[in-house]
Amino acid sequence: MSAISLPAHDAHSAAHGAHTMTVGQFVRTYVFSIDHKIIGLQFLFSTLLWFLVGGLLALGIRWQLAWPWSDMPVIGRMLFSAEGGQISPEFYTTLFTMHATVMIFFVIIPILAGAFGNYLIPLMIGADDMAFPTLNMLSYWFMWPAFILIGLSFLWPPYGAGGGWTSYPPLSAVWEAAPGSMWPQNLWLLGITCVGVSSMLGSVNYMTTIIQMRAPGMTMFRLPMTIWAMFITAILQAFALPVLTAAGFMQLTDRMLGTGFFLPEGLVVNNSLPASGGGQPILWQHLFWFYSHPAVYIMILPAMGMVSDIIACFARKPLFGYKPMVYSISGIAGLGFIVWGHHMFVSGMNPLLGMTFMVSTMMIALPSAVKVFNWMGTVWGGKVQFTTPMLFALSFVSMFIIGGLSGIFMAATPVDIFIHDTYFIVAHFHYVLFAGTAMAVFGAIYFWYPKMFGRMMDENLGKIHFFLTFIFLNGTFFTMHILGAVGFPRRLADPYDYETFRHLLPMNQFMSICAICMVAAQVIFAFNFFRSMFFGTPVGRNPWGANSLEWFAPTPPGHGNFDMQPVVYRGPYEYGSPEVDTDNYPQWQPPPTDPKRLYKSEQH
Amino acid sequence: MSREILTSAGSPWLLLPLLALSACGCGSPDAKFLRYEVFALKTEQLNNDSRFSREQRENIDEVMQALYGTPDEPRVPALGEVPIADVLDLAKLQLAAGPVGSDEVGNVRGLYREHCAHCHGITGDGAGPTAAFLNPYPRDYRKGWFKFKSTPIGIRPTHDDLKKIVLEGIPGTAMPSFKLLPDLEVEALVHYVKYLSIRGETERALLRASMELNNDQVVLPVLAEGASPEQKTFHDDQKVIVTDAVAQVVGDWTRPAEVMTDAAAEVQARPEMTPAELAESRKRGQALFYGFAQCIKCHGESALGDGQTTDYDEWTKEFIGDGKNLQLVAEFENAGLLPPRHIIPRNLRLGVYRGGRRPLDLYWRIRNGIEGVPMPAVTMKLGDDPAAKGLTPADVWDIVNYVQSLPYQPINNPLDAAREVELLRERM
Amino acid sequence: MGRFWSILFLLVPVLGVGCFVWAMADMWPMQGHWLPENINDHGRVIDNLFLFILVLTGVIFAATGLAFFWFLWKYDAAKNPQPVAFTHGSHTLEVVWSILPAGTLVFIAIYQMNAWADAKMRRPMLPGPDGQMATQDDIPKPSTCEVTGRQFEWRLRYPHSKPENWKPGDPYVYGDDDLYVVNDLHLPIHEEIVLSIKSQDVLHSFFLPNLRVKQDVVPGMLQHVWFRANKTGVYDIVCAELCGWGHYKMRGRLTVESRADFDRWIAQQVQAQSQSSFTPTPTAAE
Repeated sequence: MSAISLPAHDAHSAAHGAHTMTVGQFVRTYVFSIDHKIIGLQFLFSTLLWFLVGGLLALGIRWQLAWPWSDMPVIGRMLFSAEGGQISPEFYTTLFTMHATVMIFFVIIPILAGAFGNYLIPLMIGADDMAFPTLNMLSYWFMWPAFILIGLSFLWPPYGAGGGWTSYPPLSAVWEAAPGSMWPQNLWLLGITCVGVSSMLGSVNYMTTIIQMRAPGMTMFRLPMTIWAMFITAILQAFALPVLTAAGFMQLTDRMLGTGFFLPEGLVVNNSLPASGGGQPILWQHLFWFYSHPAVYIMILPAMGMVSDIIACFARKPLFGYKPMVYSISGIAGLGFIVWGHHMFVSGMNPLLGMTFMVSTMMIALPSAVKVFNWMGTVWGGKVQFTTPMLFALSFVSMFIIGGLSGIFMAATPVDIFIHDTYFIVAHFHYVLFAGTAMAVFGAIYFWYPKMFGRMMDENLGKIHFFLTFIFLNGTFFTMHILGAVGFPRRLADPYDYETFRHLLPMNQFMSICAICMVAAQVIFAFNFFRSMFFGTPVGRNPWGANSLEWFAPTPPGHGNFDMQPVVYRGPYEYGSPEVDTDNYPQWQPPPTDPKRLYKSEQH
Repeated sequence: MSREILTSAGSPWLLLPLLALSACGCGSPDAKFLRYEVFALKTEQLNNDSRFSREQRENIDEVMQALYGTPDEPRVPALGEVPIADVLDLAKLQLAAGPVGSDEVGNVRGLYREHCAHCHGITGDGAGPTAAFLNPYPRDYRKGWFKFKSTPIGIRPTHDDLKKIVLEGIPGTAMPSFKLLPDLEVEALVHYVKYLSIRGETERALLRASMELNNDQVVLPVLAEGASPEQKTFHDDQKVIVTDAVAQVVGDWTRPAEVMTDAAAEVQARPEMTPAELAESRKRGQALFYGFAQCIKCHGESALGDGQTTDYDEWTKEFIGDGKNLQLVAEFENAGLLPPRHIIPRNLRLGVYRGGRRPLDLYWRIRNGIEGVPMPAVTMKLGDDPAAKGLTPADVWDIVNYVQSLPYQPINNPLDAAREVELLRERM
Repeated sequence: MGRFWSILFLLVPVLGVGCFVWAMADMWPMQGHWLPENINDHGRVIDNLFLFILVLTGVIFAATGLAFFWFLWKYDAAKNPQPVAFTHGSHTLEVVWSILPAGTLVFIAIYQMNAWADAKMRRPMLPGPDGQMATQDDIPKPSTCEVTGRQFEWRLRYPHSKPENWKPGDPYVYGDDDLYVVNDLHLPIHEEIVLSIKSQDVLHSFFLPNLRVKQDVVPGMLQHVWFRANKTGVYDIVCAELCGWGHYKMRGRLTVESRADFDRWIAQQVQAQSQSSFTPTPTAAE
């Protein structure tokens, strides 16, 4: 490995004067780059664009729920002008299917693992790049077939897959069962397979890099929590994804080749008699959730890791309980493999399994709780600086408490009988995924932006963005718990036909208005993001006074990352250490030569 | 800092997306009825490919709007003695019309758009956004033909026929039951269906009438101030033609009520039978099924509906004939026809009866046939002449008894049938 | 600014708990925004479990939220001159806050197993030929109605044939003269009802909000749900598993009525279903 000695590297721009590059060199440097930082930025930009798409799809859902069958802005005019802009019911199924698909597979997973994992792992462990740079490049470019396939499905009626992101057969497996189960579902399955391949390539890379390419002195228990989280997440991806890929193929062959993995005999769907027999719809659910439950931990663990780093940095104090935090992440990941049945309590699976999965699901709340207590312990006794990244990281903790506690209701199997497939579930996962992970992602962007682009994002705009997003997300999602308590079902294009739910329209209108304001507030973020690239305050290597190795590299880091080999002397959270006079104590800084200044700590 | 936001070089970039959005436009135009393109195309083809002129088509649009209004504001044509109020009630139409919501007074509106338009189309053409994905396709009301009714072929359905379909739905299809809606709303929907049907039939008549004229003549010109005597005469003649056409369409809709008061419409109750008599009746019915009534020709010798599967329904055949001319089919698909599907005879062993499962419903299907599809009315015996060929009502009840027994025959479930055979063998 | 942000984080537990309390208190604008009326004798345990977990998580939520606020307020760098507490953690605390939640969670899990078994595993039985309950020859209680989910309606099949030696209170048997009705489920009150549920095409889910009953119907599987309704009235049947574009249209109506009214309704429907005559009536204007 080339981690031992490096020639001195200047910043990137000196080596490749833009005027002297050929087209081939340009393509190899910026398009098919094998530099993990470029790949990370490619992931970042792609996912932020898809974030916009996913957000607009969500606004479509909220519009229909607030003003059912009314003229939908832009979409109504484009696609349904004959009906005066009123959407069709199958379009609603497409909206929620594609909203979830885009957010999960094109935004959250790639931005955590692909953007931040790629960018940060080599920098934080002191390596010059990933273990397999070409494989890394491939893992980004495998996303593009998925982008194109799913993008194609938006272009002709019915404008996208419509079987839910969970794609349960027989609805998704029988061609005639739904408009969205016709050709768009094939594109969906192929797109998801491409995403899966991309993630699997990435996970192999991350595991190898973290194990093999750490700088001298960087023991496993001196790794920042971000790296631990990325490491454990990579293990989750490697073991869980093959099951989804296999299941996806099985559904594809059921649809196209007449296999009957998921299709029982005697189906009469939309007056077609699909080739079927011998199959079991519940099998898909088992295979799907065997991946998708670990997937939700894939979608939060890296965020938890990054939040730990940010909170320790801005509390100016060591992370409380480093090893318990590591064990908790491992515990969440391990337990995450044995809880998938909690998505299937009322699915028709053997009710005895309802009991076993209830116990394991209840247990998984424990490591999450331990992490929350440790974050609070980190803040306690610190000197809290309320910078924008810190605000987002703190809100992650606060909102994750809500998301995690609401999970206990669902883990309680008898209660789940009532709240399954209601807005209680929707509230839960939006709290952990949006109010949790997405807020952590925003915080991470604000935090590592200076390292990526050499300039700070504007703090004031950042705080306004935080404030508006925080207020409106709670307005949008908190009342969903109340709706769920009423039994308000998911995925209904028009719930107000039902006596039980008719009076819930005003609350839904309130939520939709909050959602529109929340999406509008992201314009501030976009503006800040792009403007700061050219007009933000330029900064040096370590504007936040942090400890981990990425802040040792030049800003922005050149090819090869470091201008001299970093050596690690301690853990990443030695803020406020009595060994030094500064309030941070970077990992790469040698200890003081005077032995009297040395501090004995039981943990580090 | 805030001043910097406004004056920085980045600000214009903030305006760009906002400008782009506003250029897209937010709101949609009001819903509009679509033109009956397939029928126009057919009419042109039937007249040696002579084309309608743009003015003729626009004039038809104007006449239609004057007569029937728009999807938001329906009208009932006021045409003298035509008893249209017996068929269409404007107050109920207004409940069904318009965008979904309630009006200022709190009355519900937009029922058709809420419940029906996405399948049946805003114009009642059976080609709404969802229609292409359904099997069978939703009904195109504009021909005025309906399958499941109490009246014979050629006569419009009664109000109760349509109401029954809306209330019960059509099992085995995508047409759902609306029996949970309040009665007033169901009534409004039924009236709106009739409205769209009458409107569609009128459009057909106007297109036919336009084809009779020269290209520079329109079916109902506006009489200008300084019109010549020829123009006045032409206008008056055309007015009569148009009024008669509408009257005929509306008259067709008042006729069912007359027909169904006729004694010939009576159906006498199926005779009560002991189990032994019922078994005999079924045997007779089976003989007729295979014999005189020739049911097996389409429903197949197995009654699985596989006797013939290459025909089309009238809504399709009217335009593409036998469907073998692919270019013709493509032309009509471009004009708005959904991709043609063969009409499959009913599989009688499923126990799914689209028009209703009451014995009365089955009797009607057999005796009246089903309008628009190849199911014919059986030949009934007229008068008392024993030599006359045809079925008596008792015969039809025998067939009904046989058909009702088909879903419960052991042969339907091969496992049970195998057991029956085994038991038979053991006994032998 | 730190004070401002601390207060913002304080609003989370305050408004969060407040929102729930407001909804539970049935106050405007959240009147009727709580659990719908429960009319199932077996449903009370689900509501009690829900409330128990709500109170428990509510207390934890409020406590952690308030502590969080307090730490942010007290340790605001701009207002706090003390040096940081340079500690890497506390073994004791870790043990305490691992054991306590673990114990609570395991307790909740085990506490609920009985309710789950009752709802999903203990199908009502009838005594077998020996006339004794809870013996080996017990037979499952026959269903009062077979519910088939189909895109996009609930097809209901009621038995109404009486077997030999039938007496009032005995179940009817399924046969070839069953009553077929769509979307309109009638059931007698104060009886242990079993329903057979199945699907003809894709996954649906039979959800009775007022009875706290929900079970996915799977094509190829015959399943059962059971409950005892204790109040007459009209209630919604909702489909709770995405089944296509018409998922929202799968509204059914459950009518709970006395046994006498139920029998009368069945008889009426059977008569309507066996209508075989048609008498022309004079026209009335529509």
